[in-house]
Amino acid sequence: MYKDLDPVLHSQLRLAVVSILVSVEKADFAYLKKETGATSGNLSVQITKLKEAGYIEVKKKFKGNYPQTTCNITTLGQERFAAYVKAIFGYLKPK
Amino acid sequence: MEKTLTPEESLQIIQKSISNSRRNMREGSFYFLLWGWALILASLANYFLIRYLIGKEQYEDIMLMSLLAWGVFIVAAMIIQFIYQARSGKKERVITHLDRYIKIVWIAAGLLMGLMAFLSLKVNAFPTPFILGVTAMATAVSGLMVRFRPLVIGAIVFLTAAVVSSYLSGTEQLLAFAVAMVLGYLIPGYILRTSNSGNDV
Repeated sequence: MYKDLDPVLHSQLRLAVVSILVSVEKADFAYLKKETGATSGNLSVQITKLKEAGYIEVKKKFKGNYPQTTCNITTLGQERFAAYVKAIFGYLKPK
Repeated sequence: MEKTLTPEESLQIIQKSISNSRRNMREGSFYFLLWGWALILASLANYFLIRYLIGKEQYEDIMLMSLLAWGVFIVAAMIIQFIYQARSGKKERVITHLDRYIKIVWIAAGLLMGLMAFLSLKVNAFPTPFILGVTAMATAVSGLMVRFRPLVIGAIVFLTAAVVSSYLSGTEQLLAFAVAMVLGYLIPGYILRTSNSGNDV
């Protein structure tokens, strides 16, 4: 079922993260956590998967005294997201 | 394991995520209020310093004291901005495309203001009208990009003040500058800050 849908994106949390990142310049871990309502552990795992797939970039740094993990989407991520959206529209409007 | 998503569910996730990723404009009010107050205080300090020095007939000190008045308030505002940004580090942070564009516009405007001040002093003109012109451009771009009318009106005030101040003496220009800052930065800044819902863009 839905075999041609990109498995990296076809997951609730990863799709939510990429959808957020597609519409902003960059967002940090706390923001993604708040917007998705996910647990830190799960979000961390899914972000790592997206990073390993090359869909997003992750930068860790300190802002003041606080560690900050910032994520932004890559060109590959944007292309795959566009392809994924096109694919689900294919399912929603069968020819 | 996660359950398999249907295309409808996928679409819902995408829609929800994208519509949530909006920026609250109220955060931007801090910068307009900080720089509005800093520049108003600088121009008024400069105005009273000049009047004091003219009264004492110490004309040779005017240039140096004017630069000092602006320098003190601009550096103070930069320090406050730095501390504010460092402290906001603990909050969750998102930078939208608009945030980045607006930041670039104001960095360019800041550099251009410095250049205008330098060039106008080099040709023995007062820098105020030129700086107000650059401020008008940056305020107009910000206001139009975020679709916030008080800022667009502020830009028109700056543009008008640029033309009007060119007819005034150097000291009167400082007062015109302060008035323009109240109308162009402070009023939009306070409107933004007090707006209950915030302007999502």
